[in-house]
Amino acid sequence: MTGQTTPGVRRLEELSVAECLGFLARSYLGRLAFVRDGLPELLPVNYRLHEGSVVFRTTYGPLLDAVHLSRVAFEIDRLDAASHTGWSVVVHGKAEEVSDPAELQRLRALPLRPWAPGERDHYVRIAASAITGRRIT
Amino acid sequence: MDGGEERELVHLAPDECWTLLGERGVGRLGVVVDGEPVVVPVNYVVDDNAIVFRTDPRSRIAGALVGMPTAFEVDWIDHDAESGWSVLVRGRAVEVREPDVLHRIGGSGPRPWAPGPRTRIMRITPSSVTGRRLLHGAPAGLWWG
Repeated sequence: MTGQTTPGVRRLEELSVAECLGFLARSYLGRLAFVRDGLPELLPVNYRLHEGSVVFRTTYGPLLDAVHLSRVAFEIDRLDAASHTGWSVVVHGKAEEVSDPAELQRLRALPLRPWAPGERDHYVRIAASAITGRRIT
Repeated sequence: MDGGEERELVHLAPDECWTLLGERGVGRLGVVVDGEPVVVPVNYVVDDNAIVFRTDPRSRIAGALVGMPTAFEVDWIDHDAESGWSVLVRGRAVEVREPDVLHRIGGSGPRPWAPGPRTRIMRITPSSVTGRRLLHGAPAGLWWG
């Protein structure tokens, strides 16, 4: 679909939840936004969509402490700075560490390697309250 | 460092961060609205060691933005080489009112990502700029934890 846009005439289209989930299933790098000490935090994380939820893995205790049972926003996009076209998806919800042994077993089968081998790692799921997206063509 | 399996995160110096910021044009703006995190993609330019972008004054984020602390993130990943970088700019967002700056960025400044009349030009003057580069393969877990 490149080269199809008319300069200066762009169209914004809201994505359905199904379309958003489709983009989430096909991407694996997103940005996690959360609040720490009243301040916005934003960092890139590798993730997978697992049973309809965004799941990431961390070995970093302070991050886990900051997000566990907290409201987060998670964003993915594919945007072209030159043509000003593309799409973005944002998941709003509550982050929670996964503790159920059966679910952890399933999560360990995901291609989500920790970057610091050997350390105890944690899986965090975002229980989504809203999934929104838009496409600009 | 004990071999080729090592993955390494290297902290970037501020001048490296600015060079990388200058190479990209889309970032993600994080701000707290009513106590909750909000993140939106924005087009930006680097102007005089600050991040400059436009917002729609009618948008939800615009009202929460002025004078508030922000986190602005830009990243790039090479999926084939499994390498990449991320830069995080922290600072308060202020509206740009200086005529010389408006004139300077007016013609070539960042267009809003979404279509529509977006007239407010904002600047994040950094209180900190940090960045990391990932070498020797992207971890599939958390990038920057």
